[in-house]
Amino acid sequence: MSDQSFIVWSAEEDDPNRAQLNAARSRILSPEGASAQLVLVDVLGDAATPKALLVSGPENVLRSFLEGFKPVVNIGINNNADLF
Amino acid sequence: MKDPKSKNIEPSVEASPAFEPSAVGVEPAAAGAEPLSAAVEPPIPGGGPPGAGPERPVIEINEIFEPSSEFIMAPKAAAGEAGVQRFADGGASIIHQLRTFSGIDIEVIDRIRPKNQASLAGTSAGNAAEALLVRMDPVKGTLLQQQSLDSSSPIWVSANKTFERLIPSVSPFNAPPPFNALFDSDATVQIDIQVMGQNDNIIRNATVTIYGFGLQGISQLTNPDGVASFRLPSSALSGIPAIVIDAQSMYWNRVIRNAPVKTGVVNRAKLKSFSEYDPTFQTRGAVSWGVQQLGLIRSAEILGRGVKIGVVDSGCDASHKFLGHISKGGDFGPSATADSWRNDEDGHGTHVAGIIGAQSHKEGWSVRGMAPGAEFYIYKVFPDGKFFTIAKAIEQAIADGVDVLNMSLGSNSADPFLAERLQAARNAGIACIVAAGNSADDVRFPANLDSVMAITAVGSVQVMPADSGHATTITKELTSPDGLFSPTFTCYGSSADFAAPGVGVISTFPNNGLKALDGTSMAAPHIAGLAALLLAHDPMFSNSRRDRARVDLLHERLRASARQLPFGPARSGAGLPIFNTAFATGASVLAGRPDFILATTPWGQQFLRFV
Repeated sequence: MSDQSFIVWSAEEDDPNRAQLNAARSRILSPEGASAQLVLVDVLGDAATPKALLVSGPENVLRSFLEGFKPVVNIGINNNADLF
Repeated sequence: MKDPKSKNIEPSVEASPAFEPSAVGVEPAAAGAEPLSAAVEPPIPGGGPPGAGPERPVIEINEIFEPSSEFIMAPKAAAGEAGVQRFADGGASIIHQLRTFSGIDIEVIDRIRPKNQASLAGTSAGNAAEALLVRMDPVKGTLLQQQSLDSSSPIWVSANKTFERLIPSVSPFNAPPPFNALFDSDATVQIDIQVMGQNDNIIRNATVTIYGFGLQGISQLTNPDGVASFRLPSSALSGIPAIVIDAQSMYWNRVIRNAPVKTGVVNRAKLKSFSEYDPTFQTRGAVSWGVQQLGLIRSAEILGRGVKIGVVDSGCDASHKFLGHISKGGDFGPSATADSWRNDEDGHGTHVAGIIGAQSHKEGWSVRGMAPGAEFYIYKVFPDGKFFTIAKAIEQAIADGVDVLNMSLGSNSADPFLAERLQAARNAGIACIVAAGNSADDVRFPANLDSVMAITAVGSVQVMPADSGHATTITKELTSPDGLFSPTFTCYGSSADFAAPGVGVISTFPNNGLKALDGTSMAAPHIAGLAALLLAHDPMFSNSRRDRARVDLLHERLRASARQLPFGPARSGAGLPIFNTAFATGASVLAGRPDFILATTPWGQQFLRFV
């Protein structure tokens, strides 16, 4: 499966102070995440309380890697919009 | 932010062309016209255009009308194949199959042969053909064309005389053969098309697109002599199904159907400048028809001062002479630099920004947007266009304390993350105005979210030439007695909140240009500008807090001001919001202001006029 970029995020009401998302961020940044070919590309919001993460890597690896954070932390494909 | 009372009403009529373009001949030069733009060259001393050659006659090309039942057939690529495909037997077997098994009386008129056909003579490949021009019953041919879209069909079939839409993306053919390969054969002729403009000036860098000789249009830019050259099948001499000409700036585009071109001559086509078509264009302080429709003509005071407007788009050429007051922006794409938001390679964002904020000049002519006194924040997210990039722009808009955010964009894919961020923007007091989409079906994401206002497009038949590409979006069935129409392309559905001008909208374009564009992208900024005017000037919003309640009140004020349109809520939502109606009695503006009068447009709509 080829690498794509994914949006990893949580809603404020589900994840006060984005604690779960921040924990997911730490896991992705860990050596375990690096060895799983996961790369944190960008962060929305400040690093301590991120609102979303942009992560690249194999989708199946990312989903299994963050299984423990479900259902608070969501994973979506970083799709394209078009100009109208 | 949808009206719970609105219903999901689907349009009951199919889109179909309402007005055939009329023939347009040589127009007399407009007297006293100002120079138009750098794209227009001065007249050539001594007459004829350079490069045309004194021995070459010049003919004017205008459309002719004749029925046709010609179709082009080409083989599809099989799995794993690439490049131009060929009928190895010259198409004999497929023709035999159609005659014998499908009962179609089909006549082969011409074969497009491979370039190296001569070297293949005497070999099994000597009969090869890359495409066939055939004649058959038009009903059966159309049926075959539809069937050819199925993946099991071994051939493409395309009508040779049909021109339906100008939007290339609607082409059903995903992998058309390259045209140069198709037509670079002995059976072609050279067709030179010269594009002329006001005062017989030549127009260079105009895009000339020819439709009807294959599976998509072929485009060329005009050279310094204003000439675009094509090699086409010899059948072109019996009329080109459609030629579309689009100058870079200052001219209406033009569609010429069944153009009677000749080879060995200069086929000359003329475009109408904005000021030729509307002599008041450069004298009225040029307020676009869209701004007029929303009830605002000229006003020294109704400018939207104190309101912050964000534009999430392709950037903005803030060096444009009508956009010089725009100074804040950011690029959220992967190759951003400090000032790269000022580079608008597409032109879309510059056009959108101008609809909201183009600023009049005290001297000379100019165009004026809806709310030129507002404070603008440009958030460049294209060409990247990724959801995460858009989310970063929204986050910045929240941080900047923006009041109104225009998003002339969307996607086929809904995304809960982006939806959550737009809800956060609404909670922060940002009114998000989003284009409904141009795909003539359901309102697109994110316009279909409750947290935003979805804007569909309307047009006005009076404001554009009947032979322009813009006029191809008109349908008789969706045109009101006062000339407003719901264009073929606009998305629709229960999510639609308002309609706004979105056809033939003239606004700013990079390099000091002005261009007429169509789309719900053009409709949304009209409402964004109107929303800014209300926030700035409606007493209901005096000293109001920037919060979700204010966004909801703004929506209600716009809804209360809207003039219902006869196209139904699915195509136009609550209708077309009108500026002075939005002020309830208008007294708050008119009281003690002798510099305003309440005037009436030729189509019977009231507006505030600055006197």
